[in-house]
Amino acid sequence: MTKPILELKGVCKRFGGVVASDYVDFSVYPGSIHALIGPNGAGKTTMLNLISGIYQVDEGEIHLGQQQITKLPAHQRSRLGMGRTFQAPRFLQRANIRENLLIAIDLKDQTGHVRSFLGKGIVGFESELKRLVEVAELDLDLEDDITSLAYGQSKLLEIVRAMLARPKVMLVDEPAAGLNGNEQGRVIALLKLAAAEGIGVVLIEHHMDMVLSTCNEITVLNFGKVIAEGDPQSILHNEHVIEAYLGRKKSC
Amino acid sequence: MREKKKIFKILAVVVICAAFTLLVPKLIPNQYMINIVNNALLYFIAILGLSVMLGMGGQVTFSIAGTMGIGAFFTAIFCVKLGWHPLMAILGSVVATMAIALVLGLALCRLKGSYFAFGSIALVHILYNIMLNWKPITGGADGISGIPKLDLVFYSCTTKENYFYVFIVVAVLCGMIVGRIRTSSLGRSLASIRDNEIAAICMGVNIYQTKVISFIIAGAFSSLAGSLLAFQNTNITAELFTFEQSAIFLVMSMLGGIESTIGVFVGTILLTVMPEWMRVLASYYKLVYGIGVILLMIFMPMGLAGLVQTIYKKIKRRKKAKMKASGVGS
Amino acid sequence: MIIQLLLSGISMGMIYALMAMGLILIVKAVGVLNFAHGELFMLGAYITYMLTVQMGLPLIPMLICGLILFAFVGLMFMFSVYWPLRNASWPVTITISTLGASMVLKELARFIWGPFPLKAKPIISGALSFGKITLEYQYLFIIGVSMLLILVVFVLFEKLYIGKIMQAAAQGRYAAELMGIPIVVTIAATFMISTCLSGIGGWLSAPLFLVSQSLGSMALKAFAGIVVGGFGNITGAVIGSILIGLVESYSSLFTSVYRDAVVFLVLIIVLLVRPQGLLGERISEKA
Repeated sequence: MTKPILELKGVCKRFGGVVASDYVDFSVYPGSIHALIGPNGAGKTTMLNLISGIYQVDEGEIHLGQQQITKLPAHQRSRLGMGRTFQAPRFLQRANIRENLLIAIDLKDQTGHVRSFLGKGIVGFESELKRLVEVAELDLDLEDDITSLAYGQSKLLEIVRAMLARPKVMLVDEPAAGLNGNEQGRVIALLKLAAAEGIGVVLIEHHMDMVLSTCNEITVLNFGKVIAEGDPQSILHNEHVIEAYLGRKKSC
Repeated sequence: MREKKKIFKILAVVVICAAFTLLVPKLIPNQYMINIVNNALLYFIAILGLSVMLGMGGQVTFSIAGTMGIGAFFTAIFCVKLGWHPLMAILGSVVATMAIALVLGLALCRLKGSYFAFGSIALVHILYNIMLNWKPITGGADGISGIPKLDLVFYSCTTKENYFYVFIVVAVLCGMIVGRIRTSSLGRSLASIRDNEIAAICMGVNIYQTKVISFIIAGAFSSLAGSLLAFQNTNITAELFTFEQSAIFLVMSMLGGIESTIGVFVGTILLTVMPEWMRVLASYYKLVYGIGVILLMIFMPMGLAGLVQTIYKKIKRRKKAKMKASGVGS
Repeated sequence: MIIQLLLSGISMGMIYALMAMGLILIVKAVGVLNFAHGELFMLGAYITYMLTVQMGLPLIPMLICGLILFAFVGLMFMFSVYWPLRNASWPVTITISTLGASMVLKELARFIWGPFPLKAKPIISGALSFGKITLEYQYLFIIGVSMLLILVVFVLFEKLYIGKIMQAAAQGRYAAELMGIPIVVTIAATFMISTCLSGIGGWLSAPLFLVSQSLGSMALKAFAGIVVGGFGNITGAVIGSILIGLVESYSSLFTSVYRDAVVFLVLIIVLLVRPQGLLGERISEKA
């Protein structure tokens, strides 16, 4: 029985009077693509922010592998293998593509600044990058400004960058938003590659067909509470889920 | 192809530096002007420290003149009052200043953005206050004089030209170090702090720690500059290390282009030499200067280097478009 | 002696509070600290000097002219220094622009009024005496006027609708524009109010100090007040500034030259011990 790579136990988060997360239990296993779905405002992005450490939990525990990371600051969680992408890609606007990606390699290697200063430069970067770029079907000139990328390209590059750091867990926030069918296919290919390499992928996504075809596990949130959990087929027919999205039918 | 470009760039820089080094003393026989160039070189070294904080880390700081003063006064005290050898004094000053910068950085770097800038202004005022008034240590308003000439074991500086050669070697070395920082992981971490703090955090960057490190590095470079200044001037007072001086450093770096080492050099030389050319403006100089700063920010915020880069990119883009249009290319 | 220092400390603190409020308003409106704020204060003192000593205006007309001039300066300042840079991708440029502006304002003052410090007339002369304790009317007046202004600003921004509109424009420019709030107007109004506050601060302090170009450095104490009291908080800025005024005042008991250093040392200590200030909250960014 494999242990989860990411585990949340009884996690609560309140913003003033609003309960964003209500005693949430959540487990992600290595190599799985685990979707987090729910109507708007259900608390999905809040969950990602709690897991990555941008928000601190009010109650509960978070474990990454064997380690408790509940009190750790966000940057330390990243260093322990917490990867993250954002709905609106967060790149360094004034750097070129190469520098933006090298930051991920810095995170992967974690050799420290002194060694980086004295060292010969980054080894193995090009080959690492190549396999990811091939799957993502990106044709890149590394010297280009990051601002020259089209929207779809930048979304794909966000995922590539996260994967370059070889994380244990990857939190992916609406990667398909605004992408056409072809680009969505490439996103799926990247996520499947990540899972194949043992990364536990947590996916927030509204495109149901993408969720159903890609994920092997789904957790449904509503009003900060977990209302259903299971494989895609069972979730599809779960009446709580249907009610949450569509409302209950009034009996006449 | 990239390797070729890199080698070409390095060669170009080496040639230009060599030419500069050899030609300047010949073309400027005037002692006064050589002194100006020497000062420009020292300011360049100090501003290199600023460029690590501002160009790479995006942090505006007014602390540079203050830490420069710390370096200068430590050197003066080590040489005049403790009789140390100049090389020891330089080393000691830089180390001492870095230690002080560590303590100060731990406090100041908790502040964000503009608040940090104002904190650094407070700092430079405190330092000036102390340098001006602590008579037993800093000599008060008279400062410290009788600093010996710079005597490196193998080379002794007696004339202004001697100092020029030493300063230019140090300047080039420092420029290379900063250039290397820029392409190393520290440079990238600082860039992430500058451009997108949340991305930085998610890429494992400890923002506070990195900011403190950049503050210490800035302290190191500026104290080195201050130390060398002490030897060149043979006497120093607090008046050299004021808030106004820090503000001038900022403008010099913005003029040249904060993200380019060469840009910083050009900006520094221009603004050090300009007051001499602008003598004709007399009392209007500061007013023109102030208006110039505002206009510079509006029209050329990336400085001269930024302007060059923009033109270069435009040409590149036009070339690419032409190639695509005529059917050539991948 | 202690009471004297208390009085002068509180009144200086009040002046710093006026400047601090002006600073915070601009920070909230445009997100950048205004480095020329001290110079606006200095200009206030000079304008006041011009209206009272050079032109001999009585109190009420002087105040009206002064406020009109302050507002005008604030408007000019905004349009030349901030407005062209409002969409800059790098906030540093605005910072440095205000730095240039501070130089320009200093030089303008020098051209118009000369480089030598000037002596302004006291607003109210005389003092109240209880036995050993002498309370100068000047200080009491400063405290009174400042408290009134602080109250007005507080009510305006925290309670009235106009204040809410201005805050909305400050927090989300794009959204505010979409809602029909005229950004130019609200930001201009903020700058004008801020300049008026500094200008009045300048008027109140002119009799206490000589009017000179170095008055601008007072902004630092106002900033210290903002930090000590708590970031981004009008109440915090006021309380922090008064504390700073008191620290400065009482530090004269054991030092005269290092008073400034003491104030800034307190600032640094507060930053080390409680970085969010006495009344501040930990700010976290939304992802």
